[in-house]
Amino acid sequence: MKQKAIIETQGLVMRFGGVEVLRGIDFAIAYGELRCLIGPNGAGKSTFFKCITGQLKPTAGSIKFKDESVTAADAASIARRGMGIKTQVPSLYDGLTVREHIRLAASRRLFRHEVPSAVDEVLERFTIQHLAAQIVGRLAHGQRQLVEIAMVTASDPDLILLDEPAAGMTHQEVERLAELIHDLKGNHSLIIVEHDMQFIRMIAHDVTVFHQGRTLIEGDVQRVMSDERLRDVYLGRSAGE
Amino acid sequence: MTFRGSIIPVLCVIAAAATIVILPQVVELFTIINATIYASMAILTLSLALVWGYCGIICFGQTAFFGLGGYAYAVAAINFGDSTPAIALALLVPTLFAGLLGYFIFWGRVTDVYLGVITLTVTLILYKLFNATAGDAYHIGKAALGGFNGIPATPLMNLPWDRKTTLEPEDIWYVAATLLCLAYAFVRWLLSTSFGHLMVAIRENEHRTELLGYDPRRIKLAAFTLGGAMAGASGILFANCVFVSPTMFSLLYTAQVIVWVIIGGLGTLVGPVFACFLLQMITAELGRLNWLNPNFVLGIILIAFVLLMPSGILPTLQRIYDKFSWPILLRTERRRPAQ
Repeated sequence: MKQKAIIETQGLVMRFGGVEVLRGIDFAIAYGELRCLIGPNGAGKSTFFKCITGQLKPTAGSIKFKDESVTAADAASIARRGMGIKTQVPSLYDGLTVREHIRLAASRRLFRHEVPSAVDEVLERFTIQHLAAQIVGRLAHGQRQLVEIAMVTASDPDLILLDEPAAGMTHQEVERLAELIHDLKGNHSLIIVEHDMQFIRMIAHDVTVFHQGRTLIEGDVQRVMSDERLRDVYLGRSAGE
Repeated sequence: MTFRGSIIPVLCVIAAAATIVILPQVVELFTIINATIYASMAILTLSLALVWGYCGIICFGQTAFFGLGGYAYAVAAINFGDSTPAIALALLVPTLFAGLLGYFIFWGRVTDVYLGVITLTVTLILYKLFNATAGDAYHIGKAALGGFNGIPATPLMNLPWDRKTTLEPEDIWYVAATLLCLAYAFVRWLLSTSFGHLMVAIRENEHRTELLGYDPRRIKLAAFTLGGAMAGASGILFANCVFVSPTMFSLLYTAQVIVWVIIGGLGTLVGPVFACFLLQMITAELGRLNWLNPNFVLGIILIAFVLLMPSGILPTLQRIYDKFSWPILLRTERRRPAQ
């Protein structure tokens, strides 16, 4: 039996002038599922994220999130419905502390008296208590990535989108991140854009490959990794040649 | 809260109260009137420090609300013959105007320098508009708007609902100085609330705030409207120490407030208020000495600050304090100044 989808897009098209970045994407993931999106640069992964989070309005097609159409909804209202995103380039408040970041995210969903304990819980879960009082603008790239993921988690979204979460992280940080993602998997649905194949093998069961604005391959990670077409698109050869 | 953390606010309150009470006893009337003008302008500065320094809204037209507050007060006081309802109306008019203007600006997604241009343009339109109201045809009830001359006979405040007991200049000083302290305390409190944190979040990264599920337009509109109300209150006080005229909307007044906020330190509250008092005193003294054009000197001061102390007085003093103060335990992490 087909599982109920938390997010579903049909025929999603995004055009910038004469350039068609998304060419009719049909995509769906089920509640509680973790899916990795891979594909070479320019495949349309980040644009796809921007469309489903309301940062860009698609030229054509539809987006359904938790059974409601969000095709024309703005970013704030989609976030309030339960979607959180970690952007490709960390989008943080450089003048605020780590604790203030987590508090801002938690404050939207919780009563005032519940916020401090929720903040402490997130700091502990991500083992970043020692950074709590640090100004985020002074942190290393890997730490900033972790803070952004912690902030997104603090708002307790049903669907978490992570755009290249492991980029710029040390090997230890990547391993820790993989553990955290496994923890999150039970309570949240996740879509993760990533280029690091080793990391993908650590976290994912299912993978979708984007190529030139279309879904090229979808399925089990082992099967996709051994697919000849994947090698072709990463080497710049046209898929299926 | 540490001992140092608790004693400083108490000392500040005592010092402010003592200054408010003692000043009229030790200086002449002219100085009291001047100090009242400075205090009223300091409230205007505080409103811009809040809107620009903490919420990142580049509003170059804060004097639009200041002028509207002054005019609304003068017109209403002349018609009602009592300052009590006039004050209420004079607070309402700039607040509603700010709300309406803010709605179109923020829902129209106008940001950055465009926002500055639009607010400045609105102010200059009001300047032109009120300048063109000379003649008997331009009056609201009994109040003639007076064109370039404004409304010279602006009625002074009276005790609430007691139109016969008009306040003396000393009393207006007490009102203005107390209001300034209350406005400062209110803004300080506001910044400690969740709403204040959101304002700062929007200043730092509006896009991220939206992605967390907050609607920046609503928060900016609330801050902008509140700033408009504060500027309107400042206009009422100003009307009570000088009189209302289109000059309240002029480029000179608009520029002065921006200069005070920049020199005092964008992203601080005490700095702009301090710069407002200091620069007005310097300007008044230069005007009295009649050596140089005060605006020319003000321009040189601004250029000097932009080149030598771009973050303003207060952040620079904080940095110096952090660098040289011997009790290392008292050092605190300073925030990156607002851009």
